This record gives sequence, C-alpha cells and structure tokens, in this order.
Amino acid sequence: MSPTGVKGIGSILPNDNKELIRQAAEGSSQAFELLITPYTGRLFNTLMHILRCRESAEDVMQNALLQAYLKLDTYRGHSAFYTWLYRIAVNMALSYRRATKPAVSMDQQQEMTGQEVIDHNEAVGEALEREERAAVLHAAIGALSEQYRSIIILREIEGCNYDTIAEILSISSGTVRSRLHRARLQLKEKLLPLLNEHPSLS
Amino acid sequence: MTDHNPNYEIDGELLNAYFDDELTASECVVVEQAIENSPQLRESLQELKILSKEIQCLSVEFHSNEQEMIDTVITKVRDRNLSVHDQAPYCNVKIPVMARGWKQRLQIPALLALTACVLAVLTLQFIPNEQSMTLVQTDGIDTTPPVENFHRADNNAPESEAIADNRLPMGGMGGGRSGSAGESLLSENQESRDKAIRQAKHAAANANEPVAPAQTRERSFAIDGAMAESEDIPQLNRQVDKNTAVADVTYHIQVKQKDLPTLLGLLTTHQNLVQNIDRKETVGIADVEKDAAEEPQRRVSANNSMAKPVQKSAVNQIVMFRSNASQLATLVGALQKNPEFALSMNHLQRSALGKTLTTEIKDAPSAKVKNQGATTILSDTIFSIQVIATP
Repeated sequence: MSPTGVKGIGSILPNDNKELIRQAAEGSSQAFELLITPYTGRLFNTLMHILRCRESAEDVMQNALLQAYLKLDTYRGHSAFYTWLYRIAVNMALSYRRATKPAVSMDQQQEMTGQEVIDHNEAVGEALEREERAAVLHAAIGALSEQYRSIIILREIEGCNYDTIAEILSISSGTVRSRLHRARLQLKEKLLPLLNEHPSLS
Repeated sequence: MTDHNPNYEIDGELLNAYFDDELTASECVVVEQAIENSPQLRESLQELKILSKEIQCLSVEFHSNEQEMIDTVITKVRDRNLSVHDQAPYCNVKIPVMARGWKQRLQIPALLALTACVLAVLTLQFIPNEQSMTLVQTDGIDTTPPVENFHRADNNAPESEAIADNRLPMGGMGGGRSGSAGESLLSENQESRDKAIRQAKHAAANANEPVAPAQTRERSFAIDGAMAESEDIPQLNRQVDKNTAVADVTYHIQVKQKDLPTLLGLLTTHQNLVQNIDRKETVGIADVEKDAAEEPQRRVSANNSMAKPVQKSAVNQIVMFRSNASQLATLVGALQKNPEFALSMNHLQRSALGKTLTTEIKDAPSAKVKNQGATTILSDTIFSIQVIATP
C-alpha cells in the first residue's frame, strides 16, 4: 500500500541530472540553479516541518544549498540527487535544532493557539477547525523526538520510501521501519482525541 | 490504540511496512491474511490511514520569497567561484558552509599578511637607516672627466672606482641572490654591514681624486648612512632617496692580462665570497655592443645564474662578480696580499668600463625586478668588483 495522494519528491524531480551536476561541479552557477530549483519548494516545506520556524528554515535552506554546491564533488551518483540534497538539508536542520532553541517556536505558538481554540471549538467555523487540526498536528509532530519527527516528515509529507529515508538519515531500512512505527505510535497517542473525532473511527 | 497484544509491536512494524508498501509479495500475503482474521489489525490499519491523511493534509509551507533565496544562493555561489577561481566545488574541505566561508575569506588575507610579515622582517633587516642616501651614478665616461664616486684605498694612488648602481650588469639583485648564494647574502647581518662600512671608510680616507660631476644616468643607489655621511668620503654625490633601499657598489680593479688567470683562480677559490662571476673581454665601446649581441653566453662560475654574455677582446678583459660587504672585505684583503694585483689596481681604464656598464645595464633583467620594488627587500649593501685586465 502506498501513501496515496502524496506527491513525493521523487515524483517531481527529473532523473537526468547528471549533466547539470557535472556542469555545476565545474563551477557553473547557472547549472546549479537549474539543478536545485525543482527541489527548493518541497525542501523548504520539509525544513519548515522539522524546524517549525520560518526564519530558521530559510537560513538552513540557504546554507544547505550552498553546502550542496560545495560538496558536489562528493556526490557519486549512487543515490538520487534529491536524496543527497535532502540528506544535507535534513542533517543541517537537525543540527540546527540541536544547536539553537528558538525563544518561541511556531509549535509553541500554535500549541497555545490550538489549545484555546479547542477549548472553544463550538464557536469556530470549518476553516478555523481545519487550522486547529493542523495546529494540533503540528504540535504533535513538533513534540516528537528529533529522530521520529524527521522520519515522519520524510515519510508522510515527502513521501519518501524506506530506502530513501535510510539514505537521507544515514540509517538502515530496518531502523527506518522500527522508528517509523514508534513515531506513529507516539503520534497516535498525542492525537488520540483528534483521531477519535474522525467519522471513520467513531 | 490497540497495543495490548504483546506481539503487536512486531506486528505493528510489519503492519506499518505493509501500509507503506514496503513488504515483499509474500510478506504482503501473510499480513493481508492476518488483517482479515484480526479486527484489531484492521483498526490499526485504519488509524494509520487516518493519521497519514491528516498529516498529508497539513498545509504546505512555502518560502516567503523562494526565488530571492535562490538568487541569493546563486550569487553566493558565484562569489565563491570568483574567490576561489572556479574551484569551489572541488574544494574538499569538509566543514560547514558558514565555517568554510570565513576560513576561505581569511585564506588570502592571511597569506598576504604572512607575506607582508616576512617582507617586513627582511626589509627591516636590510633597509638602510634614515640617513641613507642615494648616489647618482655618473655616466659621462667619454664626454666628461672621470668620475670617482668612491675610492679604493689599497695603494698610494688608487683609481679604483666604486660605481653606484642598483642595476648592475651582474644579474641584478634578485638573480644575484637566488639560491644558496642569495640565502647566504640575506643571512648577512649588521656585523657584515659594519665591516663594509669600515672598509669603505678606510678606502675613502685614502682616496685622492675628487668627485667630478658628470652626466647622470638615472641610476641611483643608497648606501648605509653611516658610510655616506662620513666626512671621509667627500667624493660621494649625495641625493637622499628613501625609496631606494639598495646599496650597490662596484669596484673596478685593473689587472694585467697575464695576471688574469691568477685572479680567476683566486676568485674561484673564493667562490664562497663572491657570486655571479662573469668574465668579459672587450676591445672598445663599439665592439663591446656588437659582440654582446653575437657571442653566446659563457659563465665562469658554476653557480652563476645571472651570467652575462662573454665578449671577446684583444685588449681588455673584464671580470665581474658580486659580493657583499663582509665577503668583499675578505676578498679585497686577499687581493691586496697579492702585489701584482695591488699594483695593477692603480691603473683603471675608465672609458671601456663605463661603456660596458652602460650597455649591460640597459639589458639587465634586474632592472625590471627593481622597478617592481622587490629588491628593497632582497638587497643590502652589495659590492661588485669589476676587474679590467689589460695586456
């Protein structure tokens, strides 16, 4: 069973990047721009979900792209370029999270907002309810540990398969499977009220 | 949540893998059979679907200005390309971008600073003091009276001339100091300079010919202030020029041609004292220039990297080499011990000498080096001896 409806990064990226990679590695900034442009949108979304801070995500993304350019000579083509790029970006985001603690993260803001809205859910409309659910989800994902959060994001949001996640996070596929399972268990526990409200389960 | 079954975690992983379409066909068959037989697993699978759907429904976060961010990155990439000469992608520095950025930016300034420090140390070691002066070289060999800028003092009536020239025909400062010889020169400290000063003062005290003004050649040099300001050297034509930190003095010694082999032998035995030994044979002014273009180069010294073309002559022979203060003192002492040299040094033929210098200096590669300002670092007080051998 595949995650239907997920437009994973693998499906939107061109496969034939070798020539662009070669030119970029030779110093062509234009080739590098063409190389990274298809990935930046999804990559930023991933970083946003990991970092939950727009400024941090923008900083990390910019540095990740520069790092990718500088490390182009280390790319051997054994994995897809986007996997390699995501590995750099995700690792930088995780390192950034370890090194910095934002004063008030988006999670905290949304969590606070979400709690208030949940307490007064009878007064909100459908759109606001959707935002509330999103806020709760964000809060739940943000509460996950680093390794679980990144794996959930890569799987559920980016639609990466286990092997790709393993490459990005530099872990084995078996570890991906076990961590993903544990991450989902934790999410279920955090989102139990939300899940119970779902019509298919009620 | 359906976590009561002790085997659920294992089954849960398998169920997750099934949900994620990560199982083989055989594994899928097993899981599907288990799902059919277990309402608990069906519920769990439904939870997985809902959870996944909820997460996937999260709003996609967009960069506030993605194109601007890309442009910024590309600009930085181009800047890095320029700064590292298009070698940025091949730089195997495994450090974070930000750290690499400041390190890379510091590389060139650090190298420049290091180079400046080395040059400053060398300059401070060899730069003349504020009393340094410039001697304007006279050039009117044929049209003006003989110039005696500096007199050797080894005999009763010396006519030896110390020609001040920072573009000597012996290969220039840089060339003359290259290799081990150059290092040895650079290693000369103040003591050697003091020796040269004492030697120069001694020579000036015994000089008996006044300085005669002549046509300037726009070649100047600075010698140590202590020596230049000595009242014992009234012959010096002074012109302060702090930009010129090089002091080259050429001694011209005339020997008889029959004594030339002996002199060459002496120089050969004193190769540790002199560098860039050149030998030329000249007839006259015109012949010197003509022969200089025709004759192949020949070097007397084995380590002579800046040798000059050998010019044949039936009359005079000029042997030139470079030395520095302390080396010169030792060498002159050795020459003075030889009575033949002491006698012949009193008979300098100035006309041939002056023309020879003029011709050679025009072609001297060291002139370019000096124009680049590099010699102020490399040069200290340097003495050359130009020996004219007459039949």
